[in-house]
Amino acid sequence: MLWYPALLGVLAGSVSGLIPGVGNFVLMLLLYPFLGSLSINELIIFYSSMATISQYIGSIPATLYGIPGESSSYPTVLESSKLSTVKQVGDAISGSAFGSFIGGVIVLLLCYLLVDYLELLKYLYSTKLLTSLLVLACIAICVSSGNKLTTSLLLLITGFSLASIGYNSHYSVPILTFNNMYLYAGLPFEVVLICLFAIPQILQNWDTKSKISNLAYNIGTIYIINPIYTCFYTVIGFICGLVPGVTTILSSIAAYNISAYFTKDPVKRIIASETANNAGAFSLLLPLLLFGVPIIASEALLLNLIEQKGFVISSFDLRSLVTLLSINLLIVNIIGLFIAWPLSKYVKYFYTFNLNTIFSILITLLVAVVLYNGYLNYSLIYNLIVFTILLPIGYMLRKVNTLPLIFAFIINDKLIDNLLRLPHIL
Amino acid sequence: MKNTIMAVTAALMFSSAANSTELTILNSGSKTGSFSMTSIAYYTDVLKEYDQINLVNPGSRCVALGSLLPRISGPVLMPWASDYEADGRNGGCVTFDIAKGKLLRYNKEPVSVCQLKDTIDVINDSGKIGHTVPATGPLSKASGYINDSFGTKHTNVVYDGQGDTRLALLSGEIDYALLTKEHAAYVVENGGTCNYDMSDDSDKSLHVIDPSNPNLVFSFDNVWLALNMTDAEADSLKAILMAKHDDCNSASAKYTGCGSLLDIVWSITDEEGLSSWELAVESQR
Repeated sequence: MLWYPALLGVLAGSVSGLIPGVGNFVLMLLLYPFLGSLSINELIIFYSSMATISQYIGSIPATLYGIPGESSSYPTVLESSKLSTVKQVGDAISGSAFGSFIGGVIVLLLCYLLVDYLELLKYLYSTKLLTSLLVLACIAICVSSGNKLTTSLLLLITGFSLASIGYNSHYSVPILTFNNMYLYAGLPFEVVLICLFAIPQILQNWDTKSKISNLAYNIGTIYIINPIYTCFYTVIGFICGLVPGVTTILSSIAAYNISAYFTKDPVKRIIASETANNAGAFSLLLPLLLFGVPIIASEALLLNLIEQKGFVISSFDLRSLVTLLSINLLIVNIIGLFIAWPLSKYVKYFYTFNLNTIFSILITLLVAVVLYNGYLNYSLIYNLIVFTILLPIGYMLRKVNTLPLIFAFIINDKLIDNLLRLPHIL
Repeated sequence: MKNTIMAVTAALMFSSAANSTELTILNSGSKTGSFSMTSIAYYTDVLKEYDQINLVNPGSRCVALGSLLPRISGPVLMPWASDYEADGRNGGCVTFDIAKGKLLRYNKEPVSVCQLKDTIDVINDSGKIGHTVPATGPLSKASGYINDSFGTKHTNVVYDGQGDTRLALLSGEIDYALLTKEHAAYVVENGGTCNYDMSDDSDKSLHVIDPSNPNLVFSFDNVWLALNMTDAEADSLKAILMAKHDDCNSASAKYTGCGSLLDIVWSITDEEGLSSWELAVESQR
C-alpha cells in the first residue's frame, strides 16, 4: 500500500468533491510542483484516489443541499429535491456510499481478474458504438426527465445550439461568433452549467429542502438495492467512463436515466447514478494506461507527469500496476465509504448553518467560481457577461429539469464529431 | 449581497496578483494535444527559474491568440503551427505573424503512415486513412496525393486529435493513420508499424519511392516564440529550454524521447526560420 500518495489523493479528492467548480485539473495544477516529486506509481495512485474520493464526497452536498460538488452529481441534485423525509435522506446517503463502494470494488476486481484482456477495450472506441451510445442517452434523457417531451426536446435543442457556438474545428468555420474572439472557444462550460443547472436547482430546492433542514438522518443502517441492479449500473458506469470528454458525467446520467425505467424512488435513482460514477472514476484511467491517450484535461496533466518519470507503454507492466492499484483503491474505497456514510455526519457540518444562509453562500461560491475561472483564463469580463445573460434564463427555467439542456451541451462536440465521421465508417 | 461583494473583491485581488507574473506559457493548441503536453513540460521545467509562472491553456487557438494574447502584457512563451497558420490564412479564426516574436525553436514534424495489420501496404492496398481535423485541411489532401502516386483508392476518416486517431487504428476502425512521430511511437509500442513517412529524404519516405510527386513531402512545422521579451530575456529563456532538452531527466526531454522523437533546431536564424515557415504554410493552404 502506497499510503502517502493515496492519502494525498483522498485529501485532494475531498476538496474537489466538496467545492463546486473546483475540479481535479485545477487542484493538480496547484499541486504541480509537489506532484513532481512522486514516482509513476505514486502519481497514478494519487490521481485514481483523488478521482475516486471526489465521487464519494460529491454525492453528500448533492444529496443534502442539491449542490453538485462534482460535475457527475447532477442526477443526484435533481433527485435530492424529491427526498421528502429524513429517512429518505439517510437512505440516499448510506445507499449511495455503499453502492459507490460496491461499484468501485466490482470494477477493481474485474480489472484485476481480467487484466490480460483489458486491451480489448480498444474495440469500444468505435464510431458506431459511441454514436449509438450518445444518441440513446439523448433519447433516454428526454423520455425520463420528468418534463413534457416537447419541453425536453426544446431543452435538448437549446443545449446543442449553445454548444455549437464557437469555432468548428472539423470544418474550420465559426458558428455564431460575430467576430468576437472569446466566442470562438464557445460559451464557458462552467458558467453555462452554473447558470442553467446549478442555480436553477438551488432555487428549486430552496423551499423543498427546508422540510428536512435539521439533517437528522439516521446513519445506523445501510440501504441496499438489488445486487443485480448494482452490478448493472456498475457496468453502465464503467463503459460510459471510457467515453472521452464526458466520462463520469455520462456514467451517472446514463445510469440515472436507465434507473428511471425501473423505479420512481428517488433514493434508488440516486444510488444508481452514484454507483455508476464511481465505476466510471476508475475506467476513465484505462485509456491512458493502456494506450497513452488522455481523455480529460486532468489526465493530460497526469500523462505529462508520468512521462517525465519515464512512462513508456511498451515497457509498462500493466499487471503489476493493476495489482498495486487494486490494493490501494480497495483501501481508498473503504475510506470513501466511511467518509460518505458514517462520517458524512461530520462532513455535513461543512454546511450546517441556516439553509438560506447555506444557499446564499453556495450561490456566492458559484459566482466566485465564475470569477476565478475567468481570472485564470484572462476572461473575467467575458465570463461575467455570459453569466449576466444566462442567469435570468436559468431563473426562468427553475421549474423544469434542465438536465437535457446540460447533457446536450456537454456531449455536443463528441456527438457531432462521431456523426460527421459515421458515413465514412459505414 | 455581502457575500457576493466579498467574492468580487477576492477575484479582483487575484487579478492584481496576476500582474506580477513573470512568464506566461500560452498554449495555442488543444487541451490534450502535443502543444499542451509540451507547454506543461516547459511549465514544470522552468518553474524554478522564474519567480512566478503562469500556464494558460484555453484549448483553442482562436481564443489564445484572438483574445488572450493581446491582454497579456508580460513575457509570453507560445507555440504556433504551420497548419494553424495555413488555416487562418484560408479564412480561419486567427493568423499570427511569427516575425513579431523571437524565434526560440523550430522543428519539422514529418507525418508517418502507420498501420496495425501487417498484411497491407499503403502504396498497394486501398483502405481507410485516419487523420486529425479539419476535414478540409492539409492532411485530408495527403491521402489524395498518395492515391495520385500509387493508384490506390484510399478514403479519409477524420478524428478530433491524434489520440483519437491512434485509438481508431488500434481498434481496427481504420487501416492507416497519419501521425506525427510522438504519436507514431505509441502505435509502435502497441504492436503497430509505421513503414512510411512523408519526409523528403528518409529511407521510409514516400517521396523517395515516387520523386515525381512533390506533394508527398508533408510536415507540420512548429515554432516556439518569445513574445513581449527583450533579446536578453528571450536568449535566457532559450538557454534554459535548450539545457532542459539536453537533460534527459527533464520533463521536456522525456516528452520528446530525449531527442529521439523530435529534431529541434535551435540555431536557426529568424530569416531562415521565416523562409522555411512560409514554405510550409503555403504548401498546406
